[in-house]
Amino acid sequence: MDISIENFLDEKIMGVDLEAETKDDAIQVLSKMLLNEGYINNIDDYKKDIYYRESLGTTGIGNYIAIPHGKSEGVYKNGIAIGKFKNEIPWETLDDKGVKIVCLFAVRDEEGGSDMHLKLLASIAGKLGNDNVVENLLNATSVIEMTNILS
Amino acid sequence: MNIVGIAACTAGIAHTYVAKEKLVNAAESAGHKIHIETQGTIGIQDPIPDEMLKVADIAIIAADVKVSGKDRFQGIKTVEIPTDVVIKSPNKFIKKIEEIARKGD
Repeated sequence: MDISIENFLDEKIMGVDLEAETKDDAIQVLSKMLLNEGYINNIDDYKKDIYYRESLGTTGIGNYIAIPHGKSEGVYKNGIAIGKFKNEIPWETLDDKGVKIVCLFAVRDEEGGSDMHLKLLASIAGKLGNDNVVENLLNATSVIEMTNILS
Repeated sequence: MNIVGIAACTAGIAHTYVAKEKLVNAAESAGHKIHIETQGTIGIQDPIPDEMLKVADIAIIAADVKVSGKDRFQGIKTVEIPTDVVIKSPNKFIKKIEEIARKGD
């Protein structure tokens, strides 16, 4: 059975007005949400894989958006934690600006079996490449609003 | 202009799809017809239709990893570029391929 982006996005792992000074703070805040809601079972394992992907190239795609991601054995359930932060966070980005919205992808390290989730993640990633969507996200003031924009 | 292409990134989870969206928006707003196939961790999505290959003026490979099915672009002028460049300045990139395509005339 197909599920929609709206049903796939989980408002329990999304937040607005979050606080973080650094990239690591931001990843930690969102990783904790993923842990608390049962998406990942080990923050350290998960973060290690996220930072491995970070080492391969920049995940700051410009327009104040970052999409850190990676497949990890620390992931129990595929999902995407989305945080809108109060201030601009220093990040390696393609346009040399900082980052205000961090979309942290949690992807299980397995072959097949979760194609539907991966398709949904792919489709959300695509939306993050759309300037109008990004502009709306940057103006959003609640997680409900962010969900609607991405759905 | 008719543009075909493939997007593929290192992890095959996110950048592939961001690159595709950027390319499609930039090409369409410049008045071109474009079809981008993605080769990600889920495999191939939106494969390039044969009829599009037949009329293609130029092919783009926006990739950070090896892509499959490059042979389909035989006889088509092909531009290879990392996903980052396409994500960073899609409009500039489309302008550049317009020039490259024109040079072939």
